[in-house]
Amino acid sequence: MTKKIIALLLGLIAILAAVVLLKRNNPKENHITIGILQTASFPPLDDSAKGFISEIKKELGDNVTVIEQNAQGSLMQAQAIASSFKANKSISGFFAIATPAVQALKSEVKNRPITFAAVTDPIGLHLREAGSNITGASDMADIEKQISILREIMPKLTKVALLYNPGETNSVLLVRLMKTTLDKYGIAYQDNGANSQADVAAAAQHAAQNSDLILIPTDNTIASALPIVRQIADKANTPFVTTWTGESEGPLMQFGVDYTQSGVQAAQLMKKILIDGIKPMDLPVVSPSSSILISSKVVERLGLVIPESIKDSVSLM
Amino acid sequence: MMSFLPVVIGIFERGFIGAFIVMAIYLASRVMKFDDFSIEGTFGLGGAVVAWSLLHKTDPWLALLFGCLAGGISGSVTGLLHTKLGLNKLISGIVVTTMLFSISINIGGANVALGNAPTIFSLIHFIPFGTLILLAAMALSVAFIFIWYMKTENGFILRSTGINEQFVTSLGKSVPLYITLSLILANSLSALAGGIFVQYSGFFSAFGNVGILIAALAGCMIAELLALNMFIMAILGSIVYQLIIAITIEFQVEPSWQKLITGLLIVVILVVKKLESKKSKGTVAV
Repeated sequence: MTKKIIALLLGLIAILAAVVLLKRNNPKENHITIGILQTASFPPLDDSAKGFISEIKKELGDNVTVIEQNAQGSLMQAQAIASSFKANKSISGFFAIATPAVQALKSEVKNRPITFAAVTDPIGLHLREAGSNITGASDMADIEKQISILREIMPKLTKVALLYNPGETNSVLLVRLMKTTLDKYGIAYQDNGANSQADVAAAAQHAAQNSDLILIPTDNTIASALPIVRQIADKANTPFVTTWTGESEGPLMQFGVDYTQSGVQAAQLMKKILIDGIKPMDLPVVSPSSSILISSKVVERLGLVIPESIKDSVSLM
Repeated sequence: MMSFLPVVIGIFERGFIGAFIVMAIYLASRVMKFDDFSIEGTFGLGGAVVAWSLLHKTDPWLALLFGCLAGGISGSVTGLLHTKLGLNKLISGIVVTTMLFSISINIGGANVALGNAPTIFSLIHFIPFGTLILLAAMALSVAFIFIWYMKTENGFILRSTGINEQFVTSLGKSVPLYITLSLILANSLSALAGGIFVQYSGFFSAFGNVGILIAALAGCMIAELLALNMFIMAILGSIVYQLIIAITIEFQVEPSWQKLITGLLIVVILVVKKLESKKSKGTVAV
């Protein structure tokens, strides 16, 4: 029995060794390999990856090889990929998409640069401490601006429903900001939590019936179930606002970070580190600009008027 | 070759952490014949309690103990739901895991970094291979404690409960008590794994337990394939599983297919087992 076990272990290790040795070419002169670790597959995260890859290829030409890995939501898997990346000496820089990916890479890689995208709170996550090898593009939305524009479009707004998954860090952080800002503008609010896609319909129902407007932070759970939110909100004639862009129709306003752009910016940071030799800590975290899209169809249906004062800063669709 | 050693060390480290959950699965679903879904929830709960404790300046070892206690308590809830309220085994596990999600995010937060808080690994970081040695020592000692416990009278009755409840009743022992006890032990183990993983990776995420159950099940099935003593095999099974995952990562398999590979792996193990048991009918090792 023990012989069988030893044979199995040795066999697997031999396969692993063979794969490692075959797949990993020694670093060539002027050749750069970049490892991408994506937390899970969601449209905004995929956009970041696309933006990063196209920009880094543009900047570095044919000299760059990209190794893409996706943890599919599993932290153990993210950790396994990070440890494989760490061992791959031909990789000179890493791109982490979303919070768990950058955390997994941070725990493994200490002396090669990491850039990130789709991370909301780099300071709170201790990513930017003295000597850190990490920088990137934060997806923190300018909530103050979002709510001030809402105020302009809907002067009679009195009660807002916040629809989000209390288990998602980004949402919790943005909702906290939304609440303080709403307080400042004297707008009342209520929480509507949905812990999974299956609960979104019930939460949206409650939100639509008890408020003048539904406000949704960057939340993967709600975003992936948005069609049902739209259906319920339309039926109750309650408008909703998303803190991300890219929806074809439905939201009164789409306000948020352009994720493709955040990937592009992370690639530019990577280029500055690898080619120009700037230290990651000397490159401040960047914030991609937010785009503001307003649906003229919804504005018309609700009988709202867009004031001249903000017409220049928003785009109608 | 220089790039190969760290990969193997990482595999062993994650394998040792996973071993605790494999032991938990083995205790619940093989010894007690109780397929306990709450093991997935207690992995998160253990992590949340440990993260909270560390951020409140608790000693990292004490934090692990708190994590285990929390896991044990929720294990007893699963047990009571089944034995006292007569809830189906699977459902009681799912109910507890669902409730634990809320409890975990309220204790640990949706995602929290440990920052510079000391962990059991930072205390020994100056020793070469310290993390690996510490994890190996912990996994082996827990395995030996269970091997010893299973040989005691109490452990014997626990094992018998899974095989023949009437026999245990005829001895004048309480079946619900032993079912609950096994769930307390299994969920403490899972919470221990969650707590160690948080200290190992430096952060807690509410979604950290995603995919844990299936990974542990695969590890448990590999361990059964290897037979011999299950608690030692749990460690090996978990390591072999991590090896296979590492191979798929190194092959750079299109990421969206990885879960299918895990599923296929389990099917392959089942087939191999079926072939084996045909070969050696009648000599089934437990």
